[in-house]
Amino acid sequence: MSPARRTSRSDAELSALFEFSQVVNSSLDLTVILNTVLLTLMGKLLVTTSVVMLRTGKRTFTIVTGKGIAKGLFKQPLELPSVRTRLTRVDGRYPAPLRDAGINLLFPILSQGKVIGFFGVAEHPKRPLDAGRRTFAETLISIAATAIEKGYSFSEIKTVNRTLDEKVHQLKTLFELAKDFGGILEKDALLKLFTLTLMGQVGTSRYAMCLKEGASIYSRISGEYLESDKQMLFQLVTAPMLSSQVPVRKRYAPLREHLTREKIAALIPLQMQNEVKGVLCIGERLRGSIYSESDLEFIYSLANLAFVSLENSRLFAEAVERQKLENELLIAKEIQRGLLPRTLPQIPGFCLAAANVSSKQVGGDYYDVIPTEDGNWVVVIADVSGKGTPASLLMANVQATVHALVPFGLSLSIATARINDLIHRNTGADKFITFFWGILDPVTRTFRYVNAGHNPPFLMRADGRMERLTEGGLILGIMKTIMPYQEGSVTLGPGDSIVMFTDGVSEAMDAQGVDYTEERLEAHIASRNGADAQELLDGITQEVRRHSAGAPQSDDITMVVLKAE
Amino acid sequence: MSEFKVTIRPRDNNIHVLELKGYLDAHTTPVLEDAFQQMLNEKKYRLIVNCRELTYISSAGLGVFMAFIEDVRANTGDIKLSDMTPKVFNIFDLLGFPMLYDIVPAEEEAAHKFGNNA
Repeated sequence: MSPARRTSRSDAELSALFEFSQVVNSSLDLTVILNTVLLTLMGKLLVTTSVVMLRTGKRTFTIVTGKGIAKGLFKQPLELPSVRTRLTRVDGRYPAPLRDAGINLLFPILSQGKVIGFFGVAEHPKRPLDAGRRTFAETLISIAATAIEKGYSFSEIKTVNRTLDEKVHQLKTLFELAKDFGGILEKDALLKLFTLTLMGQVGTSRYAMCLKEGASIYSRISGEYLESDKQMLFQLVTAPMLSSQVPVRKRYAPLREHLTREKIAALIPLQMQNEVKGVLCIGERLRGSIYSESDLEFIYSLANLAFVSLENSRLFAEAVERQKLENELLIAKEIQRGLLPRTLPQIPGFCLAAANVSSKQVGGDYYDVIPTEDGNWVVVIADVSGKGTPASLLMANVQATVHALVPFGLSLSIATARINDLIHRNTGADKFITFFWGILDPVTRTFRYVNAGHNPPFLMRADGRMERLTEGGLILGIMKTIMPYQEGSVTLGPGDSIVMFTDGVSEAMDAQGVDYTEERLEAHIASRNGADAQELLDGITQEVRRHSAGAPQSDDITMVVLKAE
Repeated sequence: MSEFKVTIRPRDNNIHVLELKGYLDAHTTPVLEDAFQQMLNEKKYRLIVNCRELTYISSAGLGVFMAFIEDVRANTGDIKLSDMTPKVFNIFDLLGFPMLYDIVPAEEEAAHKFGNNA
């Protein structure tokens, strides 16, 4: 070779090296870098088979790319007998895949004196590489080494970045859902959003929410088997776990079988204030891969977010329901109050006072003052057994019956019998009414009455003597009338008072649960001789209030006071 | 309230294109669900979802695709996605959707992948 030719050849090699250096250093993509190196080497060395192995352990190397070899060899870790910093010849001690591919020379890739990988080439059997080509290859590789290392770090960073991106996305999803869940109070809408998110983010829509309180929720999973495992799940699952982590013990055998049968892959506790309130069982993912720890963590956060919102929605629904009931009660109370006389009539020569203090619930107390066609007055007081809406309905019934019967001018005894039969026919044996009524003739000043099992009213004479109005018969509603109701009759002189009351007065309890009693009521009335009707009534109301201070009023308090002037 | 719209456009070879426009999040997923449901009801199973004007997709939005894909494939159809912006593609990619769906740069390519056996 002439000197001129030699110079031009080394010029060409130099410019090739320069160009090569520019190409490999301008890229951060490891695949591009390695491919460029491989192809350049193959072109210069005139070989058809080559590989790049990067170090993944002390003596372990993994083929990352190659030409002229089966792709199946890629990513396979290979154990080398020794790692040397110079050109190595492959002998019988080297892994079979390398030898089978014909790779017989390994060029080390060095970075700061350390081997980070090898380029392997298969020499042509008839054209072994001469020293010049080997040196050229070594130069080429040493130029590429930095780029390869950079590219390798870059691909690592890319992996780390992707993991970070995934985390950021999960956080973003959770944040979004926290906002969305917070705005939804309807259970079905909540579950729909939860299902879709689970499906989009995790890749399954099969789940069961086994709950301690309220009905469990099943989505594409039959509750048939899991329902019996609930208690065991609540005890076992205190942190997210895979189904395969359920201990292999005899007591868990049925649970394990059910989880397999329902293809449930993971179990997530639903917690509130550190207490397990339920367990979310989720199905296998459509993508097939198993749940990673990070997946489970995400599902745990997601599920608990949804669970808290579900709880809120349940509590909200309960509150709405309670409010509705309270409103209904309020309406019932109003209707009932409408059945009592709004104002009391003026009866010549007499004075009337009445009060009805209803307890929180709707009650069944009733009083009335009704004029008759012949100028007399019917006065009624009654107490329906029980409380709440049933009692108030029956009370309304009694009120209607009384008003219907009064215009007929029947005798009190017969009219009482009629009411009794009517109530008895239309209600169960457990419903009864204590009932007292009388007819006042303001001209003759007589008061005829029937007492059907009601607390006998007090009649206080002007001189202080106390009488009780007891004539009558059985409580209304217990049985058909067999014995006619007896009528009693009293004549009221000036200053005589009749105090009618319900057991809400005599049985008003104090904070210790002690009744006010009829005895104390009688003593109080006796002490108030001379007071007019309203004063007498107000006095009793105050007394009862004083007695039951601090205790909730459990029953209606109803009184009617009639005083002759 | 975020804006989201689906326009359905038939094209050759019995393929229907769902053009998504706007912000697909928890509030707007019902719109996409309804569109897919309509396709199923009308027995249209060769679907391309053109995401050119899709600006955002939440996990619940991705869930809608998962919810319908099995039914569509059971009827020898497919849902293919096209024309995603890099931002939207990144979300699909993060959650492993490229493993489950054909996601291609252009609608034409998706249509081509369906082949001619309508």
